[in-house]
Amino acid sequence: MRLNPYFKEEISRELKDHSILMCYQCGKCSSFCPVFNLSPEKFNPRKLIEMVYIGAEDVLKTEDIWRCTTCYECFENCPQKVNFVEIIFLLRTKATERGYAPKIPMQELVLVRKEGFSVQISPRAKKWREEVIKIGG
Amino acid sequence: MKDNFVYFPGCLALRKFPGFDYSTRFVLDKLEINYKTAEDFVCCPDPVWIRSLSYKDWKNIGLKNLEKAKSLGSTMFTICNGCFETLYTIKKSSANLKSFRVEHLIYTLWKNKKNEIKSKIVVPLNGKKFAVHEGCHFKRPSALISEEFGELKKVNILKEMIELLGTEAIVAKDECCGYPNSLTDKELSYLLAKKRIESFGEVDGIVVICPSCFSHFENVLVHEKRELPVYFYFELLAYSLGLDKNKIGFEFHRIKPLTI
Ligand code: SF4
Ligand code: SF4
Repeated sequence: MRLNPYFKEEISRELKDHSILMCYQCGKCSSFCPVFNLSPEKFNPRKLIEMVYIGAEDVLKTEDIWRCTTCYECFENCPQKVNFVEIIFLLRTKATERGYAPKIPMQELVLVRKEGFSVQISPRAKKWREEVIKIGG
Repeated sequence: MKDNFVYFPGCLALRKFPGFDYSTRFVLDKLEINYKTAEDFVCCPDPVWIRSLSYKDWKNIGLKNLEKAKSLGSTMFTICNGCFETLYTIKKSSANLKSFRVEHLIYTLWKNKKNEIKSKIVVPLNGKKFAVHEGCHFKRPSALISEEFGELKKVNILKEMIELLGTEAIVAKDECCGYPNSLTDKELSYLLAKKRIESFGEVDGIVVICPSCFSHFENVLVHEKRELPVYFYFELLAYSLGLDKNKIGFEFHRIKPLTI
């Protein structure tokens, strides 16, 4: 894996609070993370920060970054107040710009851009609104 | 309550679970809360996926909803944790929306209408034992939410609101329902939900205030062949306040609500 020595600075610069620089790798985030606790081999927030620290830009190609549920358990418990969820959002946005976004969430974005909604209206729901409660549309 | 309220129904309550929207409107009328809403509100948008994929789209669309709401009133309420998180977060970062308020309706009612609800109940749910699941995006990140909703850290609002209807409330330590992962790692998302459901023990149902948590819990329970009903809080409130059972929209549930 090729390392990018500027990756950490790039991420830190783009995070409004630069909080990633405060991480001292204690691992508390992981120990509180429900996903890590179920499946440590699939997802480890502390390790993801470490990858950014060493410049492992290929982290953007991994499935791992798409497994955070954004439950904020890590941020709530981090002694250094690192908002890991903001880091995940940034990594995902960068991955998307490079074409690595997973298919199903992308379909949601396409739908929102096209129709303004992330779910299509179900014909049953439409009928119920018109016939049972008599609200149009 | 002097605020001019604006109701933001969100995608799922209009497009997939129309009973959520209708029950809410019934509750608002019963509690004599005047509100406006807009036909052209769009998706909030989703604070997990749209925000992950395109921060620009997320913020611009959210701002449009907020500006529209601001032209209609002074306090906007949502009936979805996701809508709440998106609109509240974007509002917090916008200088010209400083005085505008964004709340989840459960909070609005908890703050202002507890006694009135109690006095207006016509069908109490006595003897039922419901697990309450407030959901992550209702009170986190606390560093941001606490600025305006400090109480949420100390109280389980949903517990208090469901107890108003006469039921016993079971509260387990806050944990994620797993919904966001259902789009990228279904197996993990099901495991998270199963763990959460197990933490409630023996109950007559699970009560939520977020259509995404609702939908995910139901999908997992159906997959597990478990007949444990999931309820959207405002459905139960509408029922207790006298809404005809056939107009609650229970037919949109995948698990029939047998217990009431
Ligand atoms: S808990 Fe905070 S300081 Fe510790 S490893 Fe996680 S992000 Fe870093
Ligand atoms: S927000 Fe993501 S990384 Fe943090 S605890 Fe939740 S699932 Fe784990």
